[in-house]
Amino acid sequence: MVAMVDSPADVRPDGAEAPVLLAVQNVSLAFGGVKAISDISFDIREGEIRAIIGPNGAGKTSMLNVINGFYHPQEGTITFQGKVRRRMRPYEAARSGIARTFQNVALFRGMTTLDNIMSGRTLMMRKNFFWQALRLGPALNEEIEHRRRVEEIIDFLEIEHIRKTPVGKLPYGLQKRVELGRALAMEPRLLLLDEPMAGMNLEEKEDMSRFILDVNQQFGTTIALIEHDMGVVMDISDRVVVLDYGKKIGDGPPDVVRANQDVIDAYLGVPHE
Amino acid sequence: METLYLVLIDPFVQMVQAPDFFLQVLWEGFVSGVLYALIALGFVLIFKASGVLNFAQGIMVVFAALSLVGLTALGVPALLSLVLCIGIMFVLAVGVERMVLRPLVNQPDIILFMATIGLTYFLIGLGELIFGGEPKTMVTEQLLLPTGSSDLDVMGGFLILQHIDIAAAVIAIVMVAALGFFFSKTRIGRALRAVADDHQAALSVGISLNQIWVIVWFAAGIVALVTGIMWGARSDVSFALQIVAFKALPVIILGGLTSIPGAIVGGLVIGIGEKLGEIYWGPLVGGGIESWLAYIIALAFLLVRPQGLFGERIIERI
Repeated sequence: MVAMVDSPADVRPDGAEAPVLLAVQNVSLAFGGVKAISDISFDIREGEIRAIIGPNGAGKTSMLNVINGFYHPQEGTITFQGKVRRRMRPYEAARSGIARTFQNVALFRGMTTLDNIMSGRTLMMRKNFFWQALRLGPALNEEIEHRRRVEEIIDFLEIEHIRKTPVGKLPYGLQKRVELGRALAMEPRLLLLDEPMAGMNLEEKEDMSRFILDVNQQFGTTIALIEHDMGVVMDISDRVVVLDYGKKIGDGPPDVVRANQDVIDAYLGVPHE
Repeated sequence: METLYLVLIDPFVQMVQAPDFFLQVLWEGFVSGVLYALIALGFVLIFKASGVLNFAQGIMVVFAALSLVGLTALGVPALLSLVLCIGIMFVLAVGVERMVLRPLVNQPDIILFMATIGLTYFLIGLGELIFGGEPKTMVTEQLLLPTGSSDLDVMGGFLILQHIDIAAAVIAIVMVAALGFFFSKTRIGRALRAVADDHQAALSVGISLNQIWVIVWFAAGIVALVTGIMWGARSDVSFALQIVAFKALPVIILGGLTSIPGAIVGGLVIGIGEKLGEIYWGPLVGGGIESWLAYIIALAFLLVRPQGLFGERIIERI
């Protein structure tokens, strides 16, 4: 049943291709004897919204963890902005412009919304330790400038009213939004969203879809997202890669993927006779 | 009836009858409270950033003080050895990060706690090997710290203020304020709280765990050095000093493990509380209550407010 639909068969039909921002080549990842990802290759082009879908345990989150350096694959390479790496490290990933959100919201619970989003600017605050310690002169100006950018993000995500609320107290939907805000504060080239709409009601999902599209269009941010809501995936993504049991079983525009028999089998099951 | 009078009324009568003596007791309590707060601060810093209770904080105090005295004994000018000691604390911080924390990343907190116990015994051994076990005198004058005392006339009596106590209080207050400000208002402070809250999320925004750990252990080392100088100047520098560090445990229970203001208030409550208890209530049970009263206070507190006075309320969503 493993019919690998590999590039170059899955180029976009319009032929107008943006350059590749991130390419994953022949990546395999195992935890002891458990193969989480086997020999997967796909790419993410600049400016697109790329969905990664698949049943539970397909290796989607592991894939994101490989991309931003939490997991180190045993085989394969990751090419980001032309730089080929055997493995990514979280710090390098963050520095080179990869931001992410988590499946189970990972916020700094004791901090306010504002501080959480400010923490996304850690890497951009470069004034030295000395000024930081005194919080004078250059460091103070810098803090004010970053604060202004953060306020813009807060406006954009429409979370002004919870600016000073400790995030642990917020409802789940808003926490997800704050987490997106923190990732946006990093001004990323590539934004990885792990189930941005999990556990949301319809209205919240619509809001989140709108934010994702706006981020993509207004800031030109490339987005890779994992999502289970097929309606949302088919609506907002440019290309979809489908994983099942750690293998790639489909790759291409939503319409093509939807018609792919392997994908249908993976989601609906196959009769066993 | 007799007993009730002795416990509830008599101590206060004594306080009113000799107000100058009462003030003296308060002052002594205040000074040791400030110093407790300083030790507690060392614990709080590391707990905030890594969720680990650093058992080695006490021996770090001793080690820092011994290094300072040891270097000066070799003929190094005291102020220069102070600078060198800061360097030693930095090396220690880097060493701990490399050899203890990094290999144990992602292990349960209890494992890291055990590791700090190991670190304690390592430092005891290393300290005795290098400096020997006998008590030493702190180089107070060479460090330009004041000695001597002044008498202050108050309320028909007088108050004796040791200059070193005044200096200790001032230095400790400045230090606590500076660290509190640094860790709540700057980028590094935010990064530190971020690391304490969620390692993975902190990594994802590009915070380097290793760097943060070095910074907090270094800060805790500086705090240990200052504490060592101050306690050393009041008594002497010996391995017995590390026992004092355990007084910080009731302080942080009282103040909350994650709170810098909590460390200060907790320190003062314990310091003043145990002095008053010792002087006015101690005789009722034959004295000597100073050594355990703090723990009783902390225990009573745990029953009422387990997170401490200023600790973060643990919000669990179910």
